Formats: sequence, structure tokens, C-alpha cells
Amino acid sequence: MTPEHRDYITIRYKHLQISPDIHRLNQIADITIHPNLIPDNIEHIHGYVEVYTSMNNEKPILKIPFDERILHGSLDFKKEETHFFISNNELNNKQNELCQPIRVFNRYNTPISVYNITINNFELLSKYIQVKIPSSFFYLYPDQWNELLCITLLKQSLSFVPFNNIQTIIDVYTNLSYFNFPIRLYNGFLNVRKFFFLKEKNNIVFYS
Amino acid sequence: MNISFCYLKISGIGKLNPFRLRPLINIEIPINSTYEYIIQFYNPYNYPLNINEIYTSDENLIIELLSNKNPKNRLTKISPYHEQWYLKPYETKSIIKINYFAYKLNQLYGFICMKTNFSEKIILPVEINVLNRPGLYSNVDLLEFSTERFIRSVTKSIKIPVYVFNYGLDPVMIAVSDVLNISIKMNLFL
Repeated sequence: MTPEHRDYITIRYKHLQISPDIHRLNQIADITIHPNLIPDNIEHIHGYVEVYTSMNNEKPILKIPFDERILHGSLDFKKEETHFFISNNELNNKQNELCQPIRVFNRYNTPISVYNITINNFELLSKYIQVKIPSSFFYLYPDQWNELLCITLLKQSLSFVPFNNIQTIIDVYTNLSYFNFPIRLYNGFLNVRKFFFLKEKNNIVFYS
Repeated sequence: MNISFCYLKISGIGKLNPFRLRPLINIEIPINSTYEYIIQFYNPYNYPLNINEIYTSDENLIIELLSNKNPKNRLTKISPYHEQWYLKPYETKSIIKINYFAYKLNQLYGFICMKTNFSEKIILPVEINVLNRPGLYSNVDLLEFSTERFIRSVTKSIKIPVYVFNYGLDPVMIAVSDVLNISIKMNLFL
């Protein structure tokens, strides 16, 4: 293997003797490909795994080919569009009546066809949000944003019981593969208490 | 009658099969061994697709269903494998296993034909060379890192094993010696 490829393909060899037996498979190596380390300009890798024996180290006894296309890119989303603050505060409830979109962005250099969108464990979220899927089938061209879902927060009663964070997954099925995005509901903010500090000798000491 | 030959230069560009199928060619297996391959079929349409019939050109090139053992060289769609041959939009599915037992020394030039409900006839060439040469053989004709025929650059690392078997009389030693003299190496062409 030439040095520039060692970054994204690794081989772990096994030292063993292979007995004559047509029905016995012997694992001689593990090959690992690290797709995230493949440079963007490489879109196709092909070659051979060559096997040499200790008797003849000059000519391979066996050549096993491989041939893969590499698809660079991603289907991106804005993290802040997938986090929702749930509150029983009257002021917040009014602000949240609007539908808030979750959008995806195609960073592949090929069009993507989205054909199905599902939410795992939707029953966990259904008390707090309403989900509208504008279209479960659409095309997304390279460098294009499109709306995946639109979320409306449901009005919470005054007897609303605070909950821990709720997180589940949106599955997006496309012609390339399926992708998943997290969706998260929360109802608490961190509080910062007022504090002051004093400089004592060379140290700074905080007091609340 | 005069016979003459005329040589013409031709060129072409290979196009990826829309069903993400590959030809099963340049396969070398020793006599009395079996070549097996599971065919993964991709539905490139935004509507469902049905495969209605699959057959092979050779009676020894056997089609096996993945759900039940019923090896034949022609299968048409009936209820027991209705599910197996129904593909949702853009779905990739294992549909059959191809099996060839090398019972004699020869070179097989055959094909697998698949018919869909859209009257498409998909021909997959098969070329298997049965040898009597002692030595190491691989159990696959191509190392495949993905069933989709491509790798997305954002996916996790993919690890695959490499297997060989020994068709010979003597044991074969595969040894990793030093960096300059390794016993297995990988050649990449970009």
C-alpha cells in the first residue's frame, strides 16, 4: 500500500498456516476503510489485495480486487432548529403558535430524493408538539435547503409537570441512504446566580 | 468468395447500472468447490417495483431463495416469495443467492436474467473459470465494503475480513515479516 493511502485504509494481518482443505475458510486479514479520512478529490478507489506466501515473496499467489465509489457530502441541518423549549408560561405559549420549520441542506454534488420521513417514539413528543410534514416526497438539489417538518408547540396547561429532556430521532429515507436527525424538547434553563469576587493575594476568590 | 477483415477502433464509457448490479465475471474457482453470491437489487424508482421472474442460462447455475431452500434455475413469482421480490422506492434488498458447483473443468459463459413488472429484462453476465491449479483461492471475486456499491464519506469506518482457502496438497504459510517484505499488500489505483 502506498503511503498516501495509509491514512484511510488499514490492514491487520494474521500470521497463520493454511492447511489444505477446500471447505475451510481461513481469515488472513481485516481491512478497514475510514471514509471520513478520504480526501475530497478521491471519488473512486480500486485495486487489489495481493497475497504472498513465505515461499515466494516476489509474485503474488492471489489477487483479490476491490472497487468502490466514494460519495462526498452530507445532509445537514441547523441544530437550533431541532431544539424546542416547552413551557407553560402564557407569554411563551403565544409566541409558539407559529409553525417552526426543520430544514435540511444537501451538501452532496448529486440530487437527493426524499421519499419518507418518520419520527421514532412520536408518542413521547405528542403531548408537547404537533408535527406537520409538508411533503414526504421531494427532491433536494445540491446546495439547496428544503423544509422537512414544521413543528408547532402545543399550549401547556397550568398543571403542566416539568420533565427531563426528551430526545428522539427523525428518520429521513432517501435514494442515497437513510439519515437521522435528533429532535429535542427541553423545559428548563440554567440559572446563573449573582456573584462577586475578591482578589486575595495572587488568587481570585468567587463568592455567591 | 473474398473474405477480408476490417478493424475499427471503438470506445465507450461505462455507466453505473441503475439497479446497482455488477457483472459476475473473471471468477476463478477450483474444481469441486462452489461459487456463491447474494444478489442485492436496488429499486431506482420513486415507486415500488416487483421482480416477476428470475432465470439463468445454465442448469448448474442455481438460484436459491434466501427464505427457503428450493434451488432451481428458473423461478417465477408466487406467493411464498412475494415479499422477497417486492422493493419499496429506493430500497436495496437481497433477492436471491446464486450458486454454481464446479463439478468439471470448464469455463462457464452464462447469464442471470431478471424480469420486473415494468417489462424490464435485466441481464447479468456470469463468467466462471473452473481450474485444477493447486494454491490459494479467495471465497469472493470482489471485496465489497458496502452493499450499496458506494461509500458515503460521512459513514463510520467499515471493516471487512479477507478469507482464503487452500486447494492443494501442502500447507501454505502466510507470514508477516518486515515492512519491506510483507506477505499481504494492497495496491490502489486512483
